[in-house]
Amino acid sequence: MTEPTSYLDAGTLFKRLATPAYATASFVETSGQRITYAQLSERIRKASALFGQYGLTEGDRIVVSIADEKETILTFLSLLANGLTAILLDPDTKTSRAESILQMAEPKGVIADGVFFEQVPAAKAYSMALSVKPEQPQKGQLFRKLLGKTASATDTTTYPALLQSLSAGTLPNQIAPETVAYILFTSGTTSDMKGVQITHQGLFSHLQTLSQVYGLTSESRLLNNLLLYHADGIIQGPVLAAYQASVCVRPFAFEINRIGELLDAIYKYRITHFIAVPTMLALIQRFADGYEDSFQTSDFQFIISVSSHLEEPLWRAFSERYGVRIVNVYGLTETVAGGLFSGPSDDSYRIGTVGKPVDMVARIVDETGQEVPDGEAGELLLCGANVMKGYLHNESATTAVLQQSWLHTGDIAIRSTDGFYRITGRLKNIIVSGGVNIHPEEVTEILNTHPDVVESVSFGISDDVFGERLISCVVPKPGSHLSELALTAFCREYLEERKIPTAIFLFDDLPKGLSGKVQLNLIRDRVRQLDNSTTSTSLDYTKLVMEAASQAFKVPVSDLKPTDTSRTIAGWDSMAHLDFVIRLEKALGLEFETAEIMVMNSLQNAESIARQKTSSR
Amino acid sequence: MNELNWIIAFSVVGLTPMAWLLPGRWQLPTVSVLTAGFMLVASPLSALSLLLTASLSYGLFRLKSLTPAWRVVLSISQSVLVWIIFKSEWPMHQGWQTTVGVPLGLSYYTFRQIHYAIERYKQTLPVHDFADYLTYLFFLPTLLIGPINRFPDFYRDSRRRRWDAVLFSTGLERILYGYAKIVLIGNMLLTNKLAHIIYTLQPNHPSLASYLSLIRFATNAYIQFAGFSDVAIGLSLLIGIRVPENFESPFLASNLNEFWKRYHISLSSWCRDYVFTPLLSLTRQPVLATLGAMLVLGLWHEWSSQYLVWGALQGLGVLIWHRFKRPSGEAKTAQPAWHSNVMHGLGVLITFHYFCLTCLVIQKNNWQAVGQTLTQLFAR
Amino acid sequence: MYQFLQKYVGSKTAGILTAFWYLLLLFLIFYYYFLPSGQFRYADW
Repeated sequence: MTEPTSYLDAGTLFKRLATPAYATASFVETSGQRITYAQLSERIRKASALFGQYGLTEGDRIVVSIADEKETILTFLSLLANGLTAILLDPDTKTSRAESILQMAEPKGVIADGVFFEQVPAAKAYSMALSVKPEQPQKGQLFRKLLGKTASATDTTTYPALLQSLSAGTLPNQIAPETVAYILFTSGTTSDMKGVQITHQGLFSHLQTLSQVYGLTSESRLLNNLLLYHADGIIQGPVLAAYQASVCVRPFAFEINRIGELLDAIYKYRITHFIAVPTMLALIQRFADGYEDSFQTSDFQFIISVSSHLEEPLWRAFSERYGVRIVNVYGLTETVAGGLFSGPSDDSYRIGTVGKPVDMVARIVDETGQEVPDGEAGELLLCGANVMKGYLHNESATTAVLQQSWLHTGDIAIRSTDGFYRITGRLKNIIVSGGVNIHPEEVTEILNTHPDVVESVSFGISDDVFGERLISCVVPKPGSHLSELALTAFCREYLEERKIPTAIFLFDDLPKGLSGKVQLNLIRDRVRQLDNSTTSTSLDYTKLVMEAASQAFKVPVSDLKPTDTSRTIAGWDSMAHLDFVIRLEKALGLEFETAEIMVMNSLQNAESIARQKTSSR
Repeated sequence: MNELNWIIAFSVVGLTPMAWLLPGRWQLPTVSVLTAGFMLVASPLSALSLLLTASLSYGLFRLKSLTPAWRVVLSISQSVLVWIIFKSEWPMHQGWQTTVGVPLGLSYYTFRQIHYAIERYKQTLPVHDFADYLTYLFFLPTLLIGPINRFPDFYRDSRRRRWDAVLFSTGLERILYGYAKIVLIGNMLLTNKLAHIIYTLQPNHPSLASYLSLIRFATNAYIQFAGFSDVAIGLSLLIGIRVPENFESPFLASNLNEFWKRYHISLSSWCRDYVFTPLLSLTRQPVLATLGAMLVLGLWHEWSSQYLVWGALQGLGVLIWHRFKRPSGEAKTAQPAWHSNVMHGLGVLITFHYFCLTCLVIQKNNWQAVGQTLTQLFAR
Repeated sequence: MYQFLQKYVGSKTAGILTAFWYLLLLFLIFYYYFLPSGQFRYADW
């Protein structure tokens, strides 16, 4: 089966959402604001009147680049409901790239922040060029009402304020299934722009698949604070929520020092599904001591891991520590969002795999295109209604990955005899860092434009938290005074923050093979040596701590986990605590201070204190 | 218990509606302001004393000229000083206490402030400001009857607060059950009915009467306190804050160590974290640490020789148990199941009676009376 | 109480029984409330 048996289309969905049943229901909740379905319905109908004034017709492309989240969501859905094609352009996009995208995409209009029009003056030329000025949340409304003051007059030349004077228009009854719903540009070099086109049929059939797999209803409350200019942020967030009239909660952007607050939001907002990227899970695992009960609420169902490879050790450790199931989703921007799902049901759940395809057909083939037997590795091919229509105005790139309706994912997979797929590697030259795809060539291209750079190469190295990190190696011109800092600053001018290399190494030359191609393995080795020289530890702290704990608490080492605390180990009472500390002191040949002993409330805690203690000597 | 009833009434009628009807960010601060207002009316001294100690315990940590160690020492000292002044028998001898009284909830917030100072010194507290700290201390439901809840827990819950009908009705139920414990079991059964029985037994069975009166005192203390803890927990739930449980069927504990993990949990865990563990780490003497913790636990109730002895007896009990307990790693399979059940039951009985007996020293007003009762009990 | 009863009887019966149980407790509490209470020292805290 390559498609769900039935699904709602845009016309039916938005008609349904406008019925009184959903009038007061929440659509999106942020820390300070709430958008109801009634507000959404009103907005898309007023926008319809506006689009009518500009004479836009089904399938016209409109560039959207707005920093404000609420406006981004409402604008995207307005375009969707009116059959217009949204081109989502991250407001973080650098000017040169934005210009090339505009040139290539030939949109009929632009809805963007004022800054965008300043930086890309060409955008003003479109007949519909709307400058966005987000509506300020009305502060102190209560007091204003008490004082009898009326709301201040609003500027009616900016969007969305100019909608106020319009009367509601009518939505199209029927939008052709093959009309493109939205376009997302994936990372890539300027010579090879890839604007993924997703049709209405592709989007809405996939929304049906997602809501079936996740078991969404109008009672569901999704926590998704991923970036809205990526498919996992906008599609598996507000759009998926709208499909089932569920609630999408976006409390605030993810930050390390707000992890506790984010976890508290699970309870506060009665979250049922938490959509996250593995990097977030890794950071939570590392920095959220004391929040182990966060997912033990009566509402919460499971975590949905998207965007990048979920490492098996993290998956296991996280599920165990927080007592929660993590559903691992495999998909690409080219398949809307998902495709293969490990979980939530037991028959499709296996840690370390991407589970099984849902409403898609998968094949694994070798270089010659022949299907390989189970247990052998090959490229993963996918076919389904949710596969993209093709890259916008880029025939060669489209035919490279889309052949006879089969999408070549560029990922290497193995299927087990009982039908589980495991991703084992990658054919395409792309790295995924913290859930964001980066084409190393895009970075290399920029670095090479620097006047003092002879040549450069960029690639990913594996990282515990981010999955992968981008590394660049540069050969400077002789006599130039390039530094890592200067190069980073240079990158910042032309690249989005997320694409800046985490380290730039300067070399006199790059090792090359006979053909003149840069030998990546050799460079990797060089970099690894440079990288490792900073962190060297010969003592196996984990083992020492485990052994001391095992003897003090009378528990076999095999039963101990780093996350164990005095609450999870029966023998860990106050007396045994001292025994544990003394054994550890003996093993390490040092003595802990009172304050240090007092904060050793878990095994991993004890380990990190021991580490600090030895390194500080 | 007059103040208590006022607190309960004011919490339900005044605090609870404000905690939900005002705009989100005003809710908890209003609860604190109303708490302060209530204290000002009920007992101005209490309000001033809490505000002063709270400001000092927070403000001392902002003094750049002090080293961290000095900050924590000074912060704890000022809290303890105020506590000792009001709780020791000394001001009573000076004739103070009769005129000013003890500030409301002094013992509870003193220990909260010490906890705060130590955790702040250890740098384990989440990022917060003075208002957050005041919200924690000026929280009427737990002001007078505890539990000695911890700042990080309170702060986390204030961040997680949400309207929850189930939690609210649980809160109402807890208050009702709390009152049922106090009035029906505590007042009616234990205080009145049992007193009547003891009175009739007294002439013919004096030792049985003494025994029952011993049991009555300890169980009544537990029932009343557990009842009021239920009320405090219930009131907090009405405002949307979940405070930790204070009792977990302590009389079913099979040894004294376990008993103190289940009786007045917030106090005993406080003593474990802020007396026992530091003493143990400092001196490496488990006996000293245990005794120290239990003495503080006793003195927390009242700064008097009786509570000192009572605390020492608790410490002694725990130490005796530690001396004779089975090593935790040893297999317990050698004996048949009934054997361990009997041993467990025996343990429960012994623990219960030991606790009741130690309470004799706080029940009687002087040592002579204690001796008298003991003779009556054991030498018929 | 309601959740407990609901496991054994229908939700309607459970609701009625719970209401009766609360009323009974309330009545008893008010009835006995005015009895003299024990000399209890926790009041000083």
